[in-house]
Amino acid sequence: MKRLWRDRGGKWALLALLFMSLTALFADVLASDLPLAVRVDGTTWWLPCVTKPAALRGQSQLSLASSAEWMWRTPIHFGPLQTLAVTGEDRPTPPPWAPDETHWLGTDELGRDVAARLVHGARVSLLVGLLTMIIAVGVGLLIGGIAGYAGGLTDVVLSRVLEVMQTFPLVFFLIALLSVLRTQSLWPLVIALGLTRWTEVARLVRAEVLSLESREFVLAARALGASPARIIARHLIPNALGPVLVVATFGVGSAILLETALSFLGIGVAPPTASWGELLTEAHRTLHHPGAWWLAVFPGLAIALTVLSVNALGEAVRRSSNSAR
Amino acid sequence: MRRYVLRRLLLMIPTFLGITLLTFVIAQLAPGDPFQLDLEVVGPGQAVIDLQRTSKGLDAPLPLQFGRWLSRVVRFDFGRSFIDQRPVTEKLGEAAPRTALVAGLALVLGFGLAVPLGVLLATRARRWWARVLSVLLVAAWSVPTFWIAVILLMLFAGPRYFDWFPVQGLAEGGFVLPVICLTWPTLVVATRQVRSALEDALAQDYVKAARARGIPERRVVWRHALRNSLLPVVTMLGLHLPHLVGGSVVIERIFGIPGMGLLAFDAIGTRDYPTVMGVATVMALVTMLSMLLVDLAYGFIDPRIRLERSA
Amino acid sequence: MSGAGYLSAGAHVPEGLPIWRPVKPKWPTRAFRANVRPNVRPLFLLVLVAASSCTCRPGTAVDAGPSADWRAGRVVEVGGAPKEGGALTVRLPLEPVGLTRLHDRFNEGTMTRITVGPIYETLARVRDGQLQPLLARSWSESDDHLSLSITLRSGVTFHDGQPLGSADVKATLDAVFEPKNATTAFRGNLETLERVETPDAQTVIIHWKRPYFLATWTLLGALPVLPAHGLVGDFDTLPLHRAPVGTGPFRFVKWEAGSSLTYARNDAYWGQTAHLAQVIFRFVKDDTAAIAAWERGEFDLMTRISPAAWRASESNPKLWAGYQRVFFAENTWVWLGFNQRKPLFADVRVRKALGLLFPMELVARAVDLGLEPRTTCPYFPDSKSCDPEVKPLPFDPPAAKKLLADAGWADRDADGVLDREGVKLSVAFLASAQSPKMAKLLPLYLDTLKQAGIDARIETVDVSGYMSRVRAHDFDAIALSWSTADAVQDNFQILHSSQAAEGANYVGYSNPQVDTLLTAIRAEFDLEKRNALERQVHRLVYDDQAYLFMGRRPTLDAFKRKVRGLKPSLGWYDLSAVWIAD
Repeated sequence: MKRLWRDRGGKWALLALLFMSLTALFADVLASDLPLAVRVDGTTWWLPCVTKPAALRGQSQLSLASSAEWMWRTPIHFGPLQTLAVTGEDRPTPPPWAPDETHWLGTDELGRDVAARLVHGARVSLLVGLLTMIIAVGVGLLIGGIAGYAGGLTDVVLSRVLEVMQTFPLVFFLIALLSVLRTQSLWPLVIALGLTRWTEVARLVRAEVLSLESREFVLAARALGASPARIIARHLIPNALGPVLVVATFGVGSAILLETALSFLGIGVAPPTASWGELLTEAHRTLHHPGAWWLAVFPGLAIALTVLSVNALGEAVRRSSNSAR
Repeated sequence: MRRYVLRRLLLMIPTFLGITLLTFVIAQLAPGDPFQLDLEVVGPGQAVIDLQRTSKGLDAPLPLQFGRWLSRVVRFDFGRSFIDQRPVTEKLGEAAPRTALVAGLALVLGFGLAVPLGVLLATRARRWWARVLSVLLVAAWSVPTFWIAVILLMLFAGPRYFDWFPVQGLAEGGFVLPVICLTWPTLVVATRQVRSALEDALAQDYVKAARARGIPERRVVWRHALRNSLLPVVTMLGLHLPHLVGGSVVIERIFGIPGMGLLAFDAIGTRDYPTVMGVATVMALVTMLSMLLVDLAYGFIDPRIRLERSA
Repeated sequence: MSGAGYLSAGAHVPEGLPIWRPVKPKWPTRAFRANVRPNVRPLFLLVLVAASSCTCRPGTAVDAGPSADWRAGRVVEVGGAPKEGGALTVRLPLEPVGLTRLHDRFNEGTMTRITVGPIYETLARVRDGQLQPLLARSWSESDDHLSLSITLRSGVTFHDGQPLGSADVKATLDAVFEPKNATTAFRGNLETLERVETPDAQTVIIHWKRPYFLATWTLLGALPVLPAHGLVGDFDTLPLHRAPVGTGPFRFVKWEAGSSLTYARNDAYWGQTAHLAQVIFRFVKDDTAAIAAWERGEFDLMTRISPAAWRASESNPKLWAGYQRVFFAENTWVWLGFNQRKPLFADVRVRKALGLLFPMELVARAVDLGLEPRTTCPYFPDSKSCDPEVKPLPFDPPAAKKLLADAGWADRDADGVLDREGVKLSVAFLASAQSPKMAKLLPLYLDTLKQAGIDARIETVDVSGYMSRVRAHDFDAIALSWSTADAVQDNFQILHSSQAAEGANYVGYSNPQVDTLLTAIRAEFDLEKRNALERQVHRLVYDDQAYLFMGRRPTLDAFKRKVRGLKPSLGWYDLSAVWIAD
């Protein structure tokens, strides 16, 4: 970590990602239909934007503005799903509306605030990227470790599976799998993505384990009677972790990109949930809307900057793990 | 040599079975039915749906269906599409050349440009433009392909800016924009590979030795170092091809190219199992053949590697 | 420094303006700045170019604005003597699966009607709600409506030169009634057919089991006549489905899968031959791409313009100079239906409350953009089948809340969601992933429902999954549309309670009064009397809120100003009357 921080690219990438993660983490505080704090009808509510109390259901910062004694608004006054049916905004032209002082980044065709959707979309996109790679690394470590350590027939069979998974255009599998598993939750998407991305990790781990196996410390551990599981877990995997981390970091970026592609194909995170891919897809649908540039520009920028930071971090991890050797 | 190729071909059989079995199971598990798509078909229609299911063998247990499918495939009979009733081979025959054209051009262009670019980046790493380029490469990698496609479409197709290319289809130069979109990621990935492989090679002792012997730098790089660093690049080329075809799903959809990606996407959507399986088979064959070719190419590039190596 | 500058550097000037100059860093983080700045900037610029591409257009509006006709989508008739020849290029949003209306899986409503229309002909054609002779020279019906004698026109030939005869009509009907054929759409309407006689080559006599007005109407006005010699062999894989042979004013030339379909004029047509030498249908699925091609002038007839693009085209001088727009409401209605098999939605007060919460004005403003006339009627709204007194439910949340309270729904556990006997009031809308309209409309509806204390959510599945869920009645609420080609229809299949088990009454609507009326309608051949019964059905269905009817889908098309003789009708355009001026 220290090495990363000293790395020129790594530092900025870490800072950028920290910013993105904080945005995602505090999405509810940054943009919500309910305020940070409000006193209404003699009751004071703290952080209703996070706790979503039932008593305030159906209310919004707009409706509370008239009824509340006092109110602290969230920086962005809107939630990600709040359409003009709730905001009740009445303008001469139908939405999408251009950026102005009410909607900093404009609104989409339903009057939903792009800034709010972007902030909440960060949560979905980053979560998809991270969870996908956690699953992929988990599966990859397990299968790669077993294949490398066990050798023999197990290795042959697992290597075959690896080859199948690695060579086949997995977009087809993803389409088929997600058509089957489609639900409102993120998990099917994350699991399907993870299951198609573990192969690189597994290949790496297997190669690493094969080369480490004959090294002194492993031989010593074996001579001391350590069980295979212990050797894999305590010696081989920690040593293979460096290169795996590099692959995993890049994988987060490509998982975020893949999510946008799947959204475009209509099998990503189910709308109306805001994900960056969904926002871009919406922008593609409304391209012929002359003037609605804000729909495409801001999500595009968010994706590009995030993936760029992730990739820069990957490069930095690679540099630092190379220099560590 | 012959024994090696034979062995590799035999090893393909389990791989092929694996891919097709996986596709078969996933496709069949999806809820929905190819014969229930029209909601106006009701009441007495249900009997017809059942009849059709029976006549297409869909009421048989899954293992039996897969067995039947396999026995037909070895005779190169993919059956007929459940939807438009055309032979699957005919549909594949129409779609495959289009995808092959676009993906093939992208592959050739991507790797063709990647080698000189990678060499330049590896040998001139300290120049400012090399740094810019390498950062640009990372940046280019960070943009969704379909986003690039949308921008290109807006700029270079249609009357708004430069009315150079048709919006849809492959005719009249329509392949240019999709090829650019697919070349983009290929170029980025391949350039990085060439650069890092060459950087490694240039640090090797034999390169130092060659330089010490007074061989001109240009020759050292292009003849000695590059030759050795092409090995991982060729591996990548083989592994990249299927992903290129996979990536074409989105591109084909945006540019309206009725290729393999779109065919597969639509077939999965309508539960057209024979077509899904046909595409899967072709994809499996393409990927396995490209891997075999990669392995064979090893021998030509680096004579030190005997093909018996992995035998 | 502008976005365009960056791009032209890449696009036009080969030697290349420097995209980025090295910046002498002023602070310690120099290396990173040198690395990251350049790539962020070009990216940003690239995006900005996209942005400016859209903003600059509306500002450049030219002096003369669009005409009132352009705004309203009224077709301005331009006279003159028809000119022969020329090709008409038509955009189609979908590729037909097969070129026949008989096969269930090949029949895709409007698209099939459009593509098959110029090729095949029916025995009679529908004009102004009446049947007029076409392939049949005349027909007569027995007084008890149990037999129908048809005399065919003589001298009619199929495109391959074979003469049309009674055997062709019989062969077509045989194909429809062959049990293993997937021809149930027609079989359903013709179910009362008992037998067909062909005493000579020009005469067909039909015997019915019982009188049914729609069977006669379907047989004469909807069933295309296919050549007997083309119907030999396995029905699913007939070559006829890919390369149709009919009697119409146009004949099939070629079908390039995935891209286009070409027809040519049938010079041997028995009637008035068409003016156009060729009709080319181009399949452009993607709306954005289709609009770009339209702006480019690639289509003589642009079909299925989205409401947003329709509105956008109002400020596009290029388009209003070159095109005429066509607007009219088709006979296709979109509805939301609640599963009345579930106790929750079996309560008419709940259904009414849900109807009162539908924000129709907002939907009109943000989704249809005021282009979809609302309907409340399961029949063709412009006909006498509908009661003009019935008005759509207003958007009235207080009234809805009162209805729900009357039905016993209240927020007893103070969680913001209404409940009754421990059950929460929740609705899951099943939506197909391929429906952009629902993706826009449902979030609006969801918001008003949530504000009224109803727990509403969307469940998105792919099309195949959607269909199987609908068939299995596994849903709370669905959105579907019904469509008919002409004004005469029988809604027995969607409204009669007997059709709830495995028929098209997917929402499970049941009202004995409506059942009786529907049965009476089926045997009523007098249009006036039938319309009176249908108006009663309309009123009852509305009172029961069996369906939440939304808008009628509008036809939003545009054609080049040089295209003449194009008249919109429910069954699309009659291409044989179209000609192209210089």
